[in-house]
Amino acid sequence: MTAAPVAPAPALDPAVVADLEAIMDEPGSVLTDISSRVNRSRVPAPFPVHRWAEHLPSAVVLPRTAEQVSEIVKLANRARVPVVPRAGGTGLADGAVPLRGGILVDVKRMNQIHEIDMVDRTVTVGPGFNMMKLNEELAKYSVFFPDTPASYPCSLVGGRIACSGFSLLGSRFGHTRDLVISFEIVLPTGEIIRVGDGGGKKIRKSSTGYHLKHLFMGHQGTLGIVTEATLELVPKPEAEFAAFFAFDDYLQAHRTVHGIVTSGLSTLAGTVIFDEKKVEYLRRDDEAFIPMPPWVNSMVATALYGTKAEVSEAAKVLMDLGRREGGRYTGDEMAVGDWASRHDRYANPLHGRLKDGTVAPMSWHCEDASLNWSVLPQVREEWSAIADKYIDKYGIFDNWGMYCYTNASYKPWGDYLAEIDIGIWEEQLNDENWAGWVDFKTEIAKVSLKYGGSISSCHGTTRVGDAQLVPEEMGGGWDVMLKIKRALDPNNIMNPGKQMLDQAYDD
Amino acid sequence: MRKFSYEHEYTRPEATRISDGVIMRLDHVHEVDPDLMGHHFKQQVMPVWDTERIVSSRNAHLDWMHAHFADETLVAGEESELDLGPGQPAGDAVDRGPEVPANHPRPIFGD
Repeated sequence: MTAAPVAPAPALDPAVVADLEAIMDEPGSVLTDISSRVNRSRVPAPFPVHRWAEHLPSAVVLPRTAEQVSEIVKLANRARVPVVPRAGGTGLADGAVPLRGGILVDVKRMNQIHEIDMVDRTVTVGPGFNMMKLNEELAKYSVFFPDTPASYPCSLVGGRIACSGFSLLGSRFGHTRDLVISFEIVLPTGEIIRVGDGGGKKIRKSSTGYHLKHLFMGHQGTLGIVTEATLELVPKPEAEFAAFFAFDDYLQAHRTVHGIVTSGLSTLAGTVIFDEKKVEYLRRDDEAFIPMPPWVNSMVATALYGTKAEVSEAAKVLMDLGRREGGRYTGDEMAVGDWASRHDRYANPLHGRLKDGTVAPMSWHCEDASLNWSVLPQVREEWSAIADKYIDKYGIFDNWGMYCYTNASYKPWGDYLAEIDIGIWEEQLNDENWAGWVDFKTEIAKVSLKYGGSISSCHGTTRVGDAQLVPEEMGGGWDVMLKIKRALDPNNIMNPGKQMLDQAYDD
Repeated sequence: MRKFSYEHEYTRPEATRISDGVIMRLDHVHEVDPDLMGHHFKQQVMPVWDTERIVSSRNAHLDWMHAHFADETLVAGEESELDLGPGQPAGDAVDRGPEVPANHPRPIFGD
């Protein structure tokens, strides 16, 4: 098989633009102006702003149907032009960032609820639907779609599938991969298929064939474009209960979490550890943390969701478990106020501190990993040491500390989504500083692998700095990935350049 | 409704220092110390009503978020214990969690 590598395409052939307009057949649905392209070229994560022009798409299309998406993809194959799907553009890796120009497929107009099935408990939506808006609609039926990332108010279902997202309440209700029952996807060659566990749009468990849903879940735009998804409905919780406990010793907080997650409380939806650097960061800028006494250097946040009868009883157990290792309850006001803000972390103050203590505008990089509970203290020490080294050397970074969230679906023990948040003064980026940043990321990711973890729990590994370590993490599975990529995308048009997948076309 | 007074709205109240990097001018409204903030951010004068509007909107948003996720928010009904200082592990809590790497499990028998 021979594949034509896709060259950078800063400008589309006018004939291709004309073909796109014919496919879309709607004024304003094919955009080639500079502002439309600039606004769809980056995501919130730190970005090489000094090389912004290299990341512009050549054109933006706003389809409404799967058939239009299919025709766009077929055209891209004929013209050998890259295609990059984009939903909310809220990802913290670079899945939606074009690396080689091409056609950016923005799915925001595919934002319909196609069906609410209260009998078999599903809702079917377009990929451009936002979860918060969806739950506002579902509240009329007393049901709920519990996929709640930090970007809950602004991210879209299509992006959640593309990155195989993490939900704050996943230990109780499952994460994106569990909550999406099946989805329709346009393959890189234009065919429209539906994938689930087996067949059956609304079937949660099947043993038929390969489980293709799991192959395409987390595709990062490299295996197709999702055009419809059938989602789980759960009863809206009658009650929630949150509690925060403060510690002067990280290991006490670490042990406390272990006690909580192995307690057997079935309503436990999520537990979070804050490390010393995180508390220090919040003490600078967060209303709830500014007045905290100096001895506080770690925190455990935890929450229950369920019926009122369940939550009321479990709350008593939780309050005991939170104190067993020396935790101090931080009060009802903080429990209520800070837990609500967990659903909307994109309201972070985007400024950090330089070494002299002055404040500078910084964008937010969140380096995530999946790690087992047992290694969190060691990883925390090594990540912090790496951060200190790069802060000292470059003077444009700030360590905003670590959160560790319970990471497993339907059970709160075992592994954790560990995040270290780093502020980056983007205005100071140049090639040297950007290269330093990439090295910084790579060192952090290597620590995750060293301790038997995974480089990413929920953001994906499409960013430079992480991407080159994917073959190492995947081991023998990497060659299988390459074969799948090449078989499904023979012309390498689907989001090319991501995740080292160009290796599939090396011969 | 408060009557608009230009002088009141544009005269920032005296600041109280809360911590090394934080001051407070309005009740429960913390601000980064302007001496730290002004180096790389262009500062603007914000009227009191606008500050209060932003704070009020944020609080309303958080209340809304609770109702959005559950019909009822339960609380422990207990005061903050932070003034008590750091806590100590309970007597039966010392051996609860293994504090050893997973690849070096604690022996089942022996010490």
